[in-house]
Amino acid sequence: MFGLIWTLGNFCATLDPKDPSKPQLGTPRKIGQGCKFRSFTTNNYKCNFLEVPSGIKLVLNTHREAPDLSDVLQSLYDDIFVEYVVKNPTYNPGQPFTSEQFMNALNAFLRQNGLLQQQQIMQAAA
Amino acid sequence: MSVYSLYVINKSGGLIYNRDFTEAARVDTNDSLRLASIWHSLHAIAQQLSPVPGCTGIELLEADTFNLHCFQTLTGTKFLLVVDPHASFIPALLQRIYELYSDYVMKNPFYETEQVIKCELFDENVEQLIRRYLQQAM
Repeated sequence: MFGLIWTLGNFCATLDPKDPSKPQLGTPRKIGQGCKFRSFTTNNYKCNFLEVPSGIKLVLNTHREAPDLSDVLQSLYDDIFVEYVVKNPTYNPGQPFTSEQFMNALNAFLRQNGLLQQQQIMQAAA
Repeated sequence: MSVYSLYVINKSGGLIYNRDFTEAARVDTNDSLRLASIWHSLHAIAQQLSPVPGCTGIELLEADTFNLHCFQTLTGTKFLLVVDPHASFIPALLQRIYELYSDYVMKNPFYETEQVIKCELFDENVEQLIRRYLQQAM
């Protein structure tokens, strides 16, 4: 999954049809640089993606008819990840985390947005 | 409303046709070949990563400045169309391009399957189709 997301990021930066000075494929990119991708849709699922400036990547798989979820992902990061993970004193940045409170808040958040299907939180070293 | 480029990828991931409709959309030749084979693999990986069974690969990729629509034929040839995020009826347009491909490429006696497409009639008809689409969209 990480490989897919990372490659799609590079792919979009190189393909960007609005930027005449395209970065060559495979040149290192800074976080948030170039054209970013938001989601891809297949015949039976949709994968929504958000990368925040610290390099944390959020991936949310939903059913394919889901609307544009970039705002939902941003508020998921702001209200859930930051509140329950970053502010957790036992959380070690860059390490996997398990927190019941986070899971409960996440479930409540997704239920509130009407998309309790499946979620995955991926972490990447910044 | 704009159509930026069209790519056709054969069933083994090789780029067999590439056409850019705007100057800024032009990608380095080496990069376009690599983008095509990368897309081919990403398409296959996305199928395997599907949380539900029966996935046939990516159909639409949404990025900040463009949308990429992918149409895969039953034989594994992929048609990619890079368009403006606000463009509509792209799946139908891709279907039309596939029809042109069957008419002017597959029925061309000099065309060798899986090889680079060099068919004047296909070029002309794609050009016309896109021009008509852009006029209608306006």
